[in-house]
Amino acid sequence: MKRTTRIAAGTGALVAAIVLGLGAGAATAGSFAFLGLSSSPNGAPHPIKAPQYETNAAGETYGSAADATSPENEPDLIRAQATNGKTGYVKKVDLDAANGTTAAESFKSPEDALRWQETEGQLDHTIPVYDVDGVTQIGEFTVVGQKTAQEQAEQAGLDDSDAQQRG
Amino acid sequence: MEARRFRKPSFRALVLVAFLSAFGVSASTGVAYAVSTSAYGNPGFFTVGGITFENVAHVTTDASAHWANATTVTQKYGGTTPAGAAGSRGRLFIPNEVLMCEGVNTYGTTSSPSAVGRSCTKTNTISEWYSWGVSLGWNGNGYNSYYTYKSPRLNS
Repeated sequence: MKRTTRIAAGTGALVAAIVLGLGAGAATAGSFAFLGLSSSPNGAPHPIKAPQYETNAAGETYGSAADATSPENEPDLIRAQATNGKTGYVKKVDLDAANGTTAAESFKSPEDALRWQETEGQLDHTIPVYDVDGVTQIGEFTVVGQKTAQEQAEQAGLDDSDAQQRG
Repeated sequence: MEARRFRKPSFRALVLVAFLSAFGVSASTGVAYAVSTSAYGNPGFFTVGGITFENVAHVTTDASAHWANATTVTQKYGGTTPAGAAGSRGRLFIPNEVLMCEGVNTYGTTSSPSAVGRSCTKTNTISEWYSWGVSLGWNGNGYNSYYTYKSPRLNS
């Protein structure tokens, strides 16, 4: 085999290996995704330990959403700061109702989601913030609708391309 | 909500992003360039309804005006995201794991296929912030929810 032919063959093999390797890596990343936690970019799955939350007198679990391993196992009372600056807990059921998670459970198609966001999804929703007992209200927490979120982002000089530049 | 599609990056942009990503932090462009800083978490991947999606948490802070904003972006991994197939919810946290701000679920549309979910823009002078979002993927009968990876922490 001539030297130039060997170089060309070697280069081709290297390129093919890189392409195949990247493809396999991407496929692996996708196949290792599991409910509640995205897979890592190199496809290595992470062990999931069920969160251990404390419980109040009413039997409700409380803690931070940041301790959950999936949106489904967040505590009943989620630590949050109220608009008055006090730190307390919002009820997960209230938060899910406000952010559209509850509504999404009734969607029969993606078109239902698009219709929802044109109406209810535009609006702000204010929910109570409680003390750890889940009864004593100490403030309010606002889940911002798309209209408010967009207005605030524009006032801050942000637009969606800021978040998408990574791509 | 006006969301633009991911732009095809040039090679120089890819090199720049790779360099900045190595440090986990990048300076944002545009009006707020001089004062705001933004950071991305690692991209995550999940497959639902036969589609592999990519998601990422993004946080932007402004050290002079003392505000922070969290964004979650979810899109199909390669190709155009079908309308409504992907959703995102932005959530903004401070280090003692307190939820400071959250937005509603936001779904990609025909004109803006990538789902970009924003939290509120929160003002606070004493904290560092991070973004940890929720992504939604249509499974044929409903939506499955997935977390993003957490973004790096930034001061405001």
